[in-house]
Amino acid sequence: MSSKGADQRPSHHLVEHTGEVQLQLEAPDLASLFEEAGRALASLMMEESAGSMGTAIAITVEATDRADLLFEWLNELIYRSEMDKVVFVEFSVQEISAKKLRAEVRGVTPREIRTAVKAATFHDLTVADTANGVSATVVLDV
Amino acid sequence: MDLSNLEQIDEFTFQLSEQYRADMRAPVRVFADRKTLEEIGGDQSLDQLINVATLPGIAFWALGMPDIHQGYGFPVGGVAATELPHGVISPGGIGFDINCGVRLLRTGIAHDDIADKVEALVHELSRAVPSGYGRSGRLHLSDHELRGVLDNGAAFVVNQLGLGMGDDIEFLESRGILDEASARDVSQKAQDRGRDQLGTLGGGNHFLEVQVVDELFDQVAADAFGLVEGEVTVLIHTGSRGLGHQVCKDYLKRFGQAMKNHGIEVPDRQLACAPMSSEEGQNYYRAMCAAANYAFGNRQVLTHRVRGAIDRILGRGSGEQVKIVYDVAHNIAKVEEFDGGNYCVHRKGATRAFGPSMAELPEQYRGVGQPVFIPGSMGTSSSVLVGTDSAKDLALNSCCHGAGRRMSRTAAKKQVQGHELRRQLEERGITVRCPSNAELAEEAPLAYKDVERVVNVVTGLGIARHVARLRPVGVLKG
Repeated sequence: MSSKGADQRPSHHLVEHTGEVQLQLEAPDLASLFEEAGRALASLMMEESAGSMGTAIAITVEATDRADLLFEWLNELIYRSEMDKVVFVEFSVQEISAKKLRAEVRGVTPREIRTAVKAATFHDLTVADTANGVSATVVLDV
Repeated sequence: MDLSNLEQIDEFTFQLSEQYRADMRAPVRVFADRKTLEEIGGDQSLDQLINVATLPGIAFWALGMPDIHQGYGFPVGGVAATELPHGVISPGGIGFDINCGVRLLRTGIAHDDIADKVEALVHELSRAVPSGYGRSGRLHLSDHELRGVLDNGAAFVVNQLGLGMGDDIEFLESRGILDEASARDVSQKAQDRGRDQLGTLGGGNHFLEVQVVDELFDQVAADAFGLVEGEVTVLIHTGSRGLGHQVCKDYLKRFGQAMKNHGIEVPDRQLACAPMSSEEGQNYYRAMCAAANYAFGNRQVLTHRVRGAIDRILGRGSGEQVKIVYDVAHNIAKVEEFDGGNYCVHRKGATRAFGPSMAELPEQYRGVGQPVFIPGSMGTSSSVLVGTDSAKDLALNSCCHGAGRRMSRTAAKKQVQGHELRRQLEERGITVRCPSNAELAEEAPLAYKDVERVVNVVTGLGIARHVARLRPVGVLKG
């Protein structure tokens, strides 16, 4: 993993978008960027949980480049959330390259779903290196 | 963008020449009044419409309805027709929620007779209609049943699952079945997502609303549609749920490679596309039709549940009196004829609006036109319009689909407290059921354009006529 942004904590915020939700993500390295993307998704979907943390699930996604990988990762989390009726809140990326990600995730049962996220889109999707690490922009269909 | 680049064609039509950007293949045309145009210019919707105008095979114009706003790929409120056989089909021109649409039910019950039971009815509807994300819809379809819904739409739900009444399908766009659908082109993942979601509302801006016919503007059309002043209607807004989302995702990925194979470049990857005549294009079209059939089936199951709830609260037999006025898609691509040629018409957040001469209309609506529904924002009135024959030449047989957002969800939440909005709505006699106050605030009226202005534009243009206004008395938000 790169350590050029060791001082930077992973973060996310919402960018104004009339119709959908646009996420801006920043992290010291690619692995923590993808973990932060998972946490951002969870913060949109849920305010509070009911019940205990579920067991770890292994997720592997493959793609053509880093942006494509983020598209695949978020859509896989959305798919698995819907199938398992959970919101994933803990993420541990175990292997990552521009074309492959392997992670373990754990979810909780939400008391209510706050924002139902339909999908991550390709629109304005970017993953870029920065002076402090790596950043990404992704628009979610909600 | 700089609105001075737009040429005003008439009072409600503004056009951007295809010379504006080198990669445009057709002009951009927007229907709006001056104030609405200013709002439209405030986000990226016109830039997105310019991108749409670059699609290979696009004909006529890239159209923007007056409720247009920034989306992803296509703007919401965008319409584009590509010339067949070789023009493209783009999943981004339909969106993730394939055949998201609205269905209006009329009950034949006077509001005055049941005003004291509306709260109980909305409560019963909230028990009968699963809302929110990913929840089980109580139906769990077998493989055979799921394929039946995908291939045969609402007809399968009525005839094989027994959830409907004899003439229900007569009053659905395309009679609730797109014949080109094929479940074989829908991935296993998509089918898995759809297995237990038939009969669910879903989250976001999906809703079920109990309304009263508040005012009639066109008695002839209202009589044809069975709308009577003072009577209760129910409006259902939902789509193809996770199944449709997965179909879109699957083919967006596949079209990335298809574009390389066919030498196509687009300015936004979300506009990924393939020639309709190609194998990839046909695979997606058949899968999209299957997802659209699922959405027609979903709204059919919900109709059955609404009838059940009405029966339980308003008296046995009252559910049987509930009739479908019409069911229209607003995220879909369909093959339609213009000037003797066939075109793939993409409607993303736009409604088909057939005039009275179109043969597909139910017998009772021939000579009148197709009903078009324009839901208002939370707590504001909705409108019923009727399509005109002028809509064909002016607007590719298309109309607006709602008020259209003008403010982001985060901005809305900064300006409105959800619990305060809930109190205000209840003070106005509107019963509200919504999973969270935050989500309620996101859909606050101030986040949307003035629906009356939007209606005035389409009626002023002559692509639709105003038939009725529907006032909400109960809202179940997904």
